[in-house]
Amino acid sequence: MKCQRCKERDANVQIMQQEAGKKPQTFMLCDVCAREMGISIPTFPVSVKINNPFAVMGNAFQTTFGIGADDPARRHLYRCDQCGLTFDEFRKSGFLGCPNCYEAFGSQLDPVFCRTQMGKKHLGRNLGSKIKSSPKKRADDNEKCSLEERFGLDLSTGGMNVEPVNQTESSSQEIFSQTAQESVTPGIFSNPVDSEELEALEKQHRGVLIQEKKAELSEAIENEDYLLAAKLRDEITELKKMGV
Amino acid sequence: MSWYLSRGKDWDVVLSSRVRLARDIDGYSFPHRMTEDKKVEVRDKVIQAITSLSGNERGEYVTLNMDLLPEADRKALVEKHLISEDLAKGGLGRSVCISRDESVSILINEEDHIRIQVMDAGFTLEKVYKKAEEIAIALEKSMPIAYSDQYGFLTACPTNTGTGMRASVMVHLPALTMLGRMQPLIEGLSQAGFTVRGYLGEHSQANGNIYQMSNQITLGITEANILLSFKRMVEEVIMLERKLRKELFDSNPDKIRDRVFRAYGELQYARMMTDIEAMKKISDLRLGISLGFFKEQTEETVAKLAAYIGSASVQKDSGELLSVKQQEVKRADIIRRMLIENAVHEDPQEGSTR
Repeated sequence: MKCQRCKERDANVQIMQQEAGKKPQTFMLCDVCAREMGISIPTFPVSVKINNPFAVMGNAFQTTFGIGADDPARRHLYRCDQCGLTFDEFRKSGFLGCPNCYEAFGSQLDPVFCRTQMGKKHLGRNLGSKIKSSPKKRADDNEKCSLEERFGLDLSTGGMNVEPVNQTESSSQEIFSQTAQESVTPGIFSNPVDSEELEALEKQHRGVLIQEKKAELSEAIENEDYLLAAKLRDEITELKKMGV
Repeated sequence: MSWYLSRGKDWDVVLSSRVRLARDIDGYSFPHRMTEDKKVEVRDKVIQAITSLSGNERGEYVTLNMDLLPEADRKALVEKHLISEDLAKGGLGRSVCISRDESVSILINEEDHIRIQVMDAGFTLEKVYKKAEEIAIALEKSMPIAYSDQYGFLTACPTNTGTGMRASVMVHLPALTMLGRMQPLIEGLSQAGFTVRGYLGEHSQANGNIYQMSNQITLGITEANILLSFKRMVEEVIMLERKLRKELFDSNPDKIRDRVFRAYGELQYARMMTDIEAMKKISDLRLGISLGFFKEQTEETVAKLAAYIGSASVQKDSGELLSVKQQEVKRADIIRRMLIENAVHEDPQEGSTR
């Protein structure tokens, strides 16, 4: 059988990939392609402690090399369907493209969160709710990071790293485990005095804004867009009223 | 007078406290993947929401569009920590709303659609957090904010997701720096989930022994716990710095006095000064004030000096474009003038026992 990646050399490495609750998938590669993809091929038998060391390979396949890209059911795993960002682009820049990317790449982001944050579940204030004074909230068991997520699945290379990554959690856990009863004082500042410099800057800025709107106004009149012209005229009057 | 010209709690070490909350609007890409048209659209929505905040009847916020602001003004705003270096790069659809007392600035279309930051003099984290959160809650009610139950507030960079909260303090650590303790401290704090940076934040070197410390973790933790752990860490740093200052002084009082008064002399009489030199001398003066050497100069004056000696501020003060050498002359002038104008002639009573 030929290698599934280069389709030239004979395949001599079998990669098994399994995600929880799904049927295992098998890929056949040649040793050259396998090495290029950061898959280390042991020359002697090693015991790997992680239950499912090949889970991470899914990411390498789908994002870097596009295997599985043709399968529409798996497309969301490597490209956000809202903004089109690929997981590979994210890995390069460190920035996601839109809020939907969190859903699109969730399973790939979780291990990153488990290693760099305090977990993968938001415990802070909920959208639109009030400030909480009780910091006791804990993650439920099913929201806690698994060992695979916490240790050594290095997404930056697509390879795997069986050495446990240095955990900062144990040291900070002590601090965070204590209850805080912080009394929050009313948000009134000691001397809320207006800044004269800021006021001067505001005036100067308003002057430039008026100039710009005037230019837009002339353009609108030239284009006979009188609706826009009237709107701009009102805006200019309003700005002038504020003082320049 | 603005907040940064006054002195607050634990002023001898903590110059200012700040809390920043990142929020993004649902249904839009993050700013780095938006067209200018979309940025303008988001900007106008955010400004509309801020303008209609309660308590804004008298026009509490001044709105400045980055594309309409000259570079010198943008840089001066960076030197006052009101905007970031990133926002100061300018561009259409990028703006800032600054409260008239300069304690609140809301950055629009920087890394995230909205970044609310509240600052105050001294060690006052709860106060600034509460104010920032009030504004965030009000904005969350008036526009669709990107949020998921799993990951909390969704931000452009996953290092901010969850609470979207970054608490930070600006600290003056001359003793820790002089005794070569900063490197191990920075490494230790980084292990415990905190970041230490130079004076103007990211990518800048520490000038004048001033460092910015902040929390790294935003997900899997409550806001109260972020504040609590961060506050405890800063308290430890304050105690350590005070202890070392005392040790430093006790071991060789003449040497410290000499250093401080030499710096004071240079600040009073120099005719040319680079910004780095000025920051160093101001740090020595600041140390002297905290050790109670001065009656005529106070922390407020030092805070004022520090806020107005940056290159952009010096340019702005003179109202014309200056060469580097001219800036150095102008900076020395500003420092001399401020030291004379702000000198206190009666016994100020406080700070003299330290």
